This record gives sequence, C-alpha cells and structure tokens, in this order.
Amino acid sequence: MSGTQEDLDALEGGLGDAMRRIGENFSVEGRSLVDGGVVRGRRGLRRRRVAAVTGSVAALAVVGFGASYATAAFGDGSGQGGAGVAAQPKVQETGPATTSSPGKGPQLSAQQVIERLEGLLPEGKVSGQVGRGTADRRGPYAYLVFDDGKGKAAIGVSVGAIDPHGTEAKQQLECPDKSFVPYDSCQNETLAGGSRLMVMRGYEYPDKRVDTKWWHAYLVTPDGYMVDASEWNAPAEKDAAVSRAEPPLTVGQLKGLVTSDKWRPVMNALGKAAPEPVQQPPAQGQDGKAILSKLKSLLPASAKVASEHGDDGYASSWMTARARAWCRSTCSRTCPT
Amino acid sequence: MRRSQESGFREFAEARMGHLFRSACLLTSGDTHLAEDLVQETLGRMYVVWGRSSKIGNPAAYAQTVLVRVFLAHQRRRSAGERPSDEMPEASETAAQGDASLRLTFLDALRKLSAKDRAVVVLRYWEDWSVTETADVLNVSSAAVRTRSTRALARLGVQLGDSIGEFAAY
Repeated sequence: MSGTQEDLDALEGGLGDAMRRIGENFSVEGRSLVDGGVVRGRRGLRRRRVAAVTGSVAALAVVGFGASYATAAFGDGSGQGGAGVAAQPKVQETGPATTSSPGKGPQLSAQQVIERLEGLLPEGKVSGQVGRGTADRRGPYAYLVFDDGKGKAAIGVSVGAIDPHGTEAKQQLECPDKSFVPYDSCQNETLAGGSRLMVMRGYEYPDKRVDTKWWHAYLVTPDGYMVDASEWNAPAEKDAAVSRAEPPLTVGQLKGLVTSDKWRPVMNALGKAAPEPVQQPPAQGQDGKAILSKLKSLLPASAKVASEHGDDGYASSWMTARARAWCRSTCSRTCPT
Repeated sequence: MRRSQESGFREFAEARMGHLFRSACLLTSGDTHLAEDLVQETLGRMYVVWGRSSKIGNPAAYAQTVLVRVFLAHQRRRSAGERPSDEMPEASETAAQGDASLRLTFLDALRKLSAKDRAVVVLRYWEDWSVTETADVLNVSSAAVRTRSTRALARLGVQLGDSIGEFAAY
C-alpha cells in the first residue's frame, strides 16, 4: 500500500496530465456518435411535442367543465399553475435538483439567506456578500468576508436536503483518516434531538503548503437536511494571504452557527431529498470492517497499528516501520512506503 | 429543428464528441461501449435544447455537465438493479498498446471509486474545473467535493501502490 503525503502530492500534481495521456488512447474513430445523438435527439423532440399536444387537449377538456377548473389549468398569472396538470411541459430551470418533493415553506431570496448568516455572526464588519436563494437549483448558499477587528476572514454556509440515512450523510459526518487529511481536531457527536454534527479544524491544503486554516462544521438533521459551514483565516478560500492566526469563530460558535433555528425556514423551503438508492452489498461480503479485520489478521504479531480505516471494498492500516518492511517482503504492491 | 440549426448542431457535436467520449471513457473506467452510449445520450439531450443554445452560455461546458449527470443517473439505475462486473471491458484492446500496464492499473483504480468520486476526479483533474464548478455540476457543497476529492486521491494512491511515482510522472 502506498500513500505517504509526498506520494499523494506527487499524484495530485501529475494526475491531470496523466489522465489526459490515458484519455488520448480512447479513439472515436469508426464510432457514429453524432448520428446516434441526432437520432436520440429527434426522438426526444418528438416526445416533447406529443407531451405538449396532449397537454393542450387536456386543458381544453378542463375548459369544458367550467371556468373555475380553467383557472387552475392555465394558472393564475403567478406562474405557479395551480392544479395545472394541463400546463405545457417546460424544462425545470429552478428548484433544488436533489429534492423529490416541494418545500412546505415560502421561498427565500439570496439576500434573505445572506441576512440569516449575518445575523448569526458576532460583532464585526461584513463585506463581499454573495449568495443563492432557496429556488436556485444549486441550493441556498451565503458567503461573505467577516472582520471582527483581528483580520478579514471568509465564511460560507450552504443548506440542503439529504437522505439522513444515506452514504453521503455518513461520509460527510465521518472524521477523515488523519493519514490522508491532516487536521488539528475533529469531533462528531449526536445532539439532543437526533441531529448529527461533525466539526473539524483542518487546513485548506492537505500538504499545508500554505498555512490557510479551514474550519468546517457539518450538521445533518434527523428530518433530512444538512447545514454546512466553513471559515478560513484568510479573506478568500484560495489565492489570498493568511490574514489572521485562526478563523474568527471558535468551534463552539461554529457549532452554534450550524445548529441555529434560523436555518429552519431555509430548510422548509427546500422539500425532502430523494432517498439514496439501496446500495448493493459489497462483492463477496467485503465490507470495510471485514477487510480491516482480515488485513489486521495478516499482519505479523510484532506489528503495531498506528491508525486504521475501513470502507466497503477498501481498508487501510498504518503500521510501524518494522511491519512495513515485513509487508514489503510479502506483498510488495500493496504496502505502505 | 431547422436545417441550419441541425447543421450547426452537427458541427458542434463533431467538434466535441472526441473530448466527450474520452471523458466518458474515464468516467466508466474504460468501458468504451457504455461511454459510447453515454455520449450519444448526451448529444441527444443537447440536440433537444439546441434551438435554445443562445441561452446556453457555453455549450461545451453544458454538454460536459449533461454527460456527468447522464453518467450518474445511469449509475444510480445500475446500483438499484445490476451488479457491477469485475471484468474491465476491452481490457485486451487497451493492453495491446504501449504503457498498457500502467493505464490498466489506473483505470482499474478508477473503477474502484464510487461513481460520484470518479466524477469528482474527472471534473477536477481531467477537466481542470474548480471546486465550485464541480460542486455546481454535482449539486453538492464545495466541502463535499473537497472531501470526496481528498478521499478519492488517497484511494487512487492505495490502488496504484508502487506505481504511484511512475504514474505521477507519466
């Protein structure tokens, strides 16, 4: 197994070029991709036209039953459409793409989302505000530069719908393996009420080539929403000089920020996330715990496991130098260097 | 679609299909048949919206976004009803070329990532997109992209094993 920080840095640096070289080996010669695309496109347009015609016929039928239904079918001018099953289908341009049901609360503008973040910050100056409202398909978001007098710092918060029992939530709430992602502290806990929280004091660049600190809190509520807050000790996430020793909010304040009830109206505007598809069990029962257990059983008795991490289909265990030497002589391709 | 529009679309598709196909091959970790299908589906969807292309600021980037979403939708369907194969399609075709071993090792490593992690790696490193752009396409937060990216790199490192140095300099 390989994976020292030096190796990973080299991999990250060379990955783009290497992928481009590998990609160049795939040739489109002799493949009728454009014709195939045009055929599918024409089919798509036909389906769309049929749907539009069907919609118009249905609308006319509704008119026959009375004016009150006609109002519903054609909308009230607000663009909402009422019970307008007969409205012409149109491409969905707005609305959270990850939710499977409409929100129960009113939509909030980008400015309203930004104001919620501002209202949760301690005394200080704010500038550079940007944000997205709840109707934006990319999800609500607020970002600003905050200065409590000790230096400008970027702070960002996003809110979204998530399957609270899904893999995405599980992965986001896990503290990363410190062998790969260095951090000063990371804690996860379940709060009263069932929300789960992860707060990490980490670094913008895992190799710490620039001393930009990235502190991050991620909350998942039991009813399926997430609040994700980040702060830096610099006025921008990247390409800005460090302006202060640490980000402005303490871990406690960061926790208070993501758990605030002020995000509830934002969540209510979003609707619920579609449940993640049921995961196939890993091949041959190779879940992370099983692989980790197997890996540890294969280590020599003298090996001391410094840290361990297991996911489905994958496990790692950092070992002492003596164990690594043994491992290299036994299974060279998969040993730590 | 009017003839002039179709001709414009074909011109766009001819110019972009190579890049889309190579992206699709990386997303599918070398499954050229699936990649072909994904590209055709992507071009089909582009054809449908082509009449409104003036509203699409950057059709090339839009097509890339469509491709990634078509890929993820395909993976979601597959995870619900199929079992991924352990064999990499067309391995022999690829192996016949030079540096085949390293390429196969990489594609195999890529295949062991989750679909979303693979999409993050392709967008961030092959497309050279920023964290924010990648997050927008995948409908996740920047933090999620960052986390996925770091973990995916770590896993690729593990999978590449001793080839990591050779690969980084490839």
